[in-house]
Amino acid sequence: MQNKSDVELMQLIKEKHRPALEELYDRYIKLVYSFSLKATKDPDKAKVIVQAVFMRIWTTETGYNPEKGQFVNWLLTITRNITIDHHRKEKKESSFIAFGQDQLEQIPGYPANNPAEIVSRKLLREQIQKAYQYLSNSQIELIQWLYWEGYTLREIADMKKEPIGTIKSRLHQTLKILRNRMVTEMGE
Amino acid sequence: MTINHSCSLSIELVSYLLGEATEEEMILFEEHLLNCSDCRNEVQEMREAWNLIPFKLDDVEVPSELKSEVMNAIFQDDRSSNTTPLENKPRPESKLFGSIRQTLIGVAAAVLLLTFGGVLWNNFQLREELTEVKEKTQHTAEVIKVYSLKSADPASSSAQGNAWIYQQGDTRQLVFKVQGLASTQGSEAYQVWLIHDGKRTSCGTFQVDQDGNGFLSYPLHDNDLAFDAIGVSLEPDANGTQPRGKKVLGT
Repeated sequence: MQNKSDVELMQLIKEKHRPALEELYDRYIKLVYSFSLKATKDPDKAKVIVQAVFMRIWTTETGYNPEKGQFVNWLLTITRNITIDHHRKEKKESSFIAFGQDQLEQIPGYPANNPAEIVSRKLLREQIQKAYQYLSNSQIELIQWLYWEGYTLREIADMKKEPIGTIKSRLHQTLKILRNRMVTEMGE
Repeated sequence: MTINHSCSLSIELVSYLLGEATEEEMILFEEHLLNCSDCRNEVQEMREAWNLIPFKLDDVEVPSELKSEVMNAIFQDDRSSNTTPLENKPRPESKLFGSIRQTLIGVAAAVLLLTFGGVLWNNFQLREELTEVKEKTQHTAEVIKVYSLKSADPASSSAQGNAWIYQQGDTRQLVFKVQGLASTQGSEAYQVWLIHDGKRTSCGTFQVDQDGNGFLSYPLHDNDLAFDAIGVSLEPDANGTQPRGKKVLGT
């Protein structure tokens, strides 16, 4: 199993091959668990999310499509969707509009030149932390609410009592800074 | 590195990126992206940045028992059947489509992407995204909530289980998997209850196998959705409308 690619493992999982799921778990549990823990700040809730993520991988029909980008990004999108869902159910905010999970899940990582392939995850983390130093507090707050807590742009605009255009423009700026700093850090 | 973005739509692209745009807007964006190379670059760069966010995570220790918990919950019913209960049999055409795609993916997709680059890829992908969004809403079972069921009497029973609410299209299903329950005697049955404001609604009954594993799925109706807790009781028979026996598992 260890010499199989993620794509091969996902194919085996579709054929209900248990060792493939276990291998995938071993490969990615650290990432999925850290993600859930960061988003929930609660080890018990993080476990529930991990459980749901791997259940989803086991039962997914459409599965992972390598044309849509890296496996790790697909996995993180699933994890994020489940996490956000969990947040929302917990807050019992019935007024929330469905977030378009399917659409979110389709946000791909561009397959070429993805930094995740170029540098190890640890190095990548250090570089992102450096890039974060170039963000203002309001930009960091926006990422926190939008990415980790799953609020929509509209909801954030309402919470901040700012026009949605301002929020969009802030996100645009924030992503540009992150991206450009990363490119600089990697000496491209 | 700095490109001068004069296009007025470039800021609006964040809605597209996050999937917050309506379908009409998505189509407009798609048309626009065909004609605006600035915006194509923009979307690609923002995607890269968005995908980078989670890599800022700190390393944490994963609890060592988590793997067996996850695997047990997934596989406890798989000894008797080889497929998960919620999995639809793939339609023949989609299976064929799937296998063709599988074969082509590794080589052809890479070649295609590298050869034709971003322009074609973006458009191709946008169309496919739109199609898939539509398809997925019809066929994919989404987990929308997970419950953990714990023994009502942890001192004497190691029973535990999970329940999931799946959404598939417009229908929702509540699925239970439990383990470690004692075998039933005679007409006894385990019964699952949705509890709301102290009222209990039955979701049906189940038996356990010789290893104490049980399984139940229940189609949720709109008026079932508002419940506060789930309970499982051991009943003298499978015909009750209110709990008579003792509670064995609960959220």
